Amino acid sequence: MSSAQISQRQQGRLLVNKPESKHLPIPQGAKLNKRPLPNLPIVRQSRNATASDAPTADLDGYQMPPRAAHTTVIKVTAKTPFMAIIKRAQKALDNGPQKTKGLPLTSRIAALGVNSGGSKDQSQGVTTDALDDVVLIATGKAIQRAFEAAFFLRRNKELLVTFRTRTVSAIDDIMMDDDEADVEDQVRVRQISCVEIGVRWK
Amino acid sequence: MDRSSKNSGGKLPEVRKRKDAPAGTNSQQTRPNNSRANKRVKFQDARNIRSQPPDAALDDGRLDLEKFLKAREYEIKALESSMQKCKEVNATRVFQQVPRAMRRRTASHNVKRVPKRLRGRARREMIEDNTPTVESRRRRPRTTRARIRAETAKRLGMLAAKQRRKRTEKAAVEGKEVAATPEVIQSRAPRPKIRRNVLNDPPKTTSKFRKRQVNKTWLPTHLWHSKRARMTEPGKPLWRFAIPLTPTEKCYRPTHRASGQKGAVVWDTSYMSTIGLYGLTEGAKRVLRALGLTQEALWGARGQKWRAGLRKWSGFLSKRRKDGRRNIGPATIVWNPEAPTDEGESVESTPPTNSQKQLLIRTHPACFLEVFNELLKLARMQSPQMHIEDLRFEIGSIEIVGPGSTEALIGILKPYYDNVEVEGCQGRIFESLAEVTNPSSLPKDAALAFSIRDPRLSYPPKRVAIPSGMDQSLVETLTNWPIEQHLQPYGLYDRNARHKASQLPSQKSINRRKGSSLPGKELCVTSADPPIPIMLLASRPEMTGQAQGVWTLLAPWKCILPIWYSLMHYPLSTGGNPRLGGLDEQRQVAFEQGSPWFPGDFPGTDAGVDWELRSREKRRSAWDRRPKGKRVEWKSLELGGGRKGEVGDGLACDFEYLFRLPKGAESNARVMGSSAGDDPDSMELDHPEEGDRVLSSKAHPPHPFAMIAHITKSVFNEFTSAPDATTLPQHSIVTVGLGFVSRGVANTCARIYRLPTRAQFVSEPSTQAEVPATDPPPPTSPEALPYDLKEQWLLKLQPTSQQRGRHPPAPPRMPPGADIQTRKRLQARSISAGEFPTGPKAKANQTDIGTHPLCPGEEDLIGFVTTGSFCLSEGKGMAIGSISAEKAAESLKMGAEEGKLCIVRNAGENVGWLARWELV
Repeated sequence: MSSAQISQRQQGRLLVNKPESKHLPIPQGAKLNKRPLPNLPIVRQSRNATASDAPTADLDGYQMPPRAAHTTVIKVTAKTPFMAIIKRAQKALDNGPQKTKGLPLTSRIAALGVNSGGSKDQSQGVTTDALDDVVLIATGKAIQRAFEAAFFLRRNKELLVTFRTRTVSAIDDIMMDDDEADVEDQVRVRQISCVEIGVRWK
Repeated sequence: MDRSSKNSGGKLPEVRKRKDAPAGTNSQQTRPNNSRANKRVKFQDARNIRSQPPDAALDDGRLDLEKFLKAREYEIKALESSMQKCKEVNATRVFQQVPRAMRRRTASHNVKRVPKRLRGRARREMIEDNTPTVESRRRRPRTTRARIRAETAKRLGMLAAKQRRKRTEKAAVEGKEVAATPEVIQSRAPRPKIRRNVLNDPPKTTSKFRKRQVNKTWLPTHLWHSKRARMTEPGKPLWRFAIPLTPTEKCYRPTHRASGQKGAVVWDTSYMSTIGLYGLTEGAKRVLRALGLTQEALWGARGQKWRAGLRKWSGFLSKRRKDGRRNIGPATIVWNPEAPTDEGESVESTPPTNSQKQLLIRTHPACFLEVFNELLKLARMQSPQMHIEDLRFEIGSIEIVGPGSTEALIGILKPYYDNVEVEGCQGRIFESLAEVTNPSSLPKDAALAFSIRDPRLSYPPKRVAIPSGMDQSLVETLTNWPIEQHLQPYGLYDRNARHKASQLPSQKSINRRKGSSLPGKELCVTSADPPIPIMLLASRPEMTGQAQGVWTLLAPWKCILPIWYSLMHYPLSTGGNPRLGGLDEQRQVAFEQGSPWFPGDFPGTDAGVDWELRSREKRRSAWDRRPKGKRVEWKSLELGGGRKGEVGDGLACDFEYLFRLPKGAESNARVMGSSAGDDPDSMELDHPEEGDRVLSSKAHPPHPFAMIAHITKSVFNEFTSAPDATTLPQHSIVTVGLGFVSRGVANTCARIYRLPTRAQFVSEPSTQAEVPATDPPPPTSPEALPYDLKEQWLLKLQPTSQQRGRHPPAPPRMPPGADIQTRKRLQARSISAGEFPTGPKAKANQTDIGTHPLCPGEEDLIGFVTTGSFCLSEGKGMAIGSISAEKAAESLKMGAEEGKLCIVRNAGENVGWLARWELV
């Protein structure tokens, strides 16, 4: 992909999700094999990630915010049970460093008071640092499930839930079903939508 | 104010398990008394719970809330810490504090076996409570043999001392100085002999361990494993190797997690056998075709990358026999790329010349000898002749599976050459894969080969930086897979390169170099550090989907150990280190991915027959050991419908019974005579003949089990699509995966039935207008099964996913408080509607087994389960089994959906469960 194309994309003329030409239909007798998504981390605590890691931009120009050292990434699939997501998120939130945890009692009370007083800019404005305690990642069909979980978590007034959308490249192999067929396998890239939901203590 | 808690004094310090230490030496006299006094103080201290006076919270008579809260917080903390301290001071010993992963050391009474930081405490504790400690080296010999050994050692020591004294005296007389160090003669390390077309010797071990390896070979990591895993018994090696069976630590669920969700599991699979095949391209082609690689795709454009050495091929090898082909076992084949010629560097432009080629064939040790003999026969038939080399002890391998596998490998395998021109770009491409959490994301059957640095130079391994996942370069690499650039022949095929890599500098010299460099700094590569040629193979599981693939790392035999140490200490980004796995874990991972495991799940191959007969013996001896009242009595098993007794042998996957084969005599219970040097386990190392021995099955009368033939999925599919054109070999079986429809867990040896198919019971034209469906007429003879048995089983399919939540409607009950008239009326109505059974109640187990449909008859038996249990990845029972190919094809004619339904019943149980089979 040339740099001109990228700049065009960034100007908004072309969209990644709407490529100018569609893929050809799968040839007769071939089947599509979806490879596992290569660049979606499974449960991974990125302890080595620091804020100084220079983030690279996505095709859309989206830059992934730096993750906190303790961030727990939960991958949500279409088959993940709802309560399992909630429990894992809750566990990670409870075990992770809470902002008021080590403070003396008075300052904890004070901190609570500030929050209950309602600083509107924090709860409403778009957060930029995204040092989340828990990140739910879902693609395609699972996005709905991730949102359900996110809205469930949002009922807890002490939690801040943010949503970010991404486009992720998936790779498909097109293989001939018949072993005897002498046609080389093809590889295709498919763009799928992805949502990242950050959850953290306010 | 101090109060001692009343409830914590459960155990007095005086109550002791052991006697006091005898008042012997001075140190022992004083120390225990001292320590006992110390201990008492410690106990008192632990049991004190500090609290604050209530008036501390008062501020001039007013309650200061914050002070009050702080006081209570302090008290709660004091209570908690006292509870903790009491626990610690009371009972625990150092051995119990060792982490779970080090538990192998806990039962020991040897202080040296606990970690260093705890050693002092352990020694003190043992002196305090007078634990008898014996150093095994100094123990008084008990057996005659040991006594003789000890005496000989003593006498030899005396002799040596005498000689030494004499020598010094002689030197003193002659006035010569005794040389401080003997002269060192520099010698070239001998290159191991690799003979052509013959089996090779295992590597020479140090004399200390040689006696233990007479009838087996140790893996390169044996000493490491034997401390952490249960190995095969010394007298009963598996496939002529001492193989770790399972870690001593309990690890079923951790292995499941590490292999699928978080972490990695590593195996030393150096026992896998490698064979080198050398010769002209055409000859190699013919040999491989004769081994069953007959698909045209492999030899056309589609297999071009494989033949260029850029991909691997994995599949089943087979050999020709009088009555058709017989499968041998799974193998992986990789070609060595040719050196680029001047005119055309790219793979596409090289003309198909008949040039010299090298191939590696990696196979399982259970079928190694069979493959070797077959290859030898085929290689000699070619003209010009090809030749083969037995590289079993030249090339070792490590397998690693799990989301952290790629990361861990990248962390320890550092390419030796920075320059792409020297060795191609495969090392660099491998390093760019750090984000990949599943080797299945790589192109199918990807193979990478490059040279690495000695992993000890950068020991301890450091966590690799994982890019954020935003970059498109990874996707581009994975789609294009540009590994052809500057392609060179792989070093692993080169005997000299392997030998050079085996000459790694000693650990001592590495330590010396480390000591002289700055702490924490990686060592630079010097001329003393040879490049280690390796090859990485990425394989996908059989079933498509998101299941984890496996990395296989091939390296020279002697380089496996340093790589292993680094790998086991790699800090994964998800926390922890890669886990250790044994043979059981390998079977577990294969089972959870739904793929069969060789040889256990392939009873139709020679290796599988051997495995099955062996496990039969094991099951039988376990059954024999149980008391009579506690073991299954096969003859009295009631199968319902008047049938009694287990179908076939309950302790076996009784395929002989299924195919009505003659019973084998007990004398040749094993296909491959256990005493002769015929089976892969008792392969003689010093073979006089040139390896062209025939398999035992020809020498001895074969076990009837050996007449059963395994066929692959593709052969079976060919047959079902065109049953007239192709024929199945006699007594052929096909491997299937079984998933239960609702409930049920199968064990090994469970019986697989198809849905009842026999001619249905024709009810004579009855006088009754209609026969109620729920109440079939009682069978005429005790042998007859209910005529609607198939429908009964199909009813089990009914609760679909939408209905699963609902309960079946409750049977009607009398309304409470109804008078006798109403009751009578309701009863009469219900009888006429058929809600209550009318006729005489059938005998137990006649028409059903506790409302469960009866098992089909013997004529519907189609196969047996070879592996089965509750599957953690599916959350329900799963199994792998083998079924008769003929009967499977027959039942497929009923329809693709219904034909794949079967009933699985555990051996010794009378209840079967509905399942679906799927070819694997």
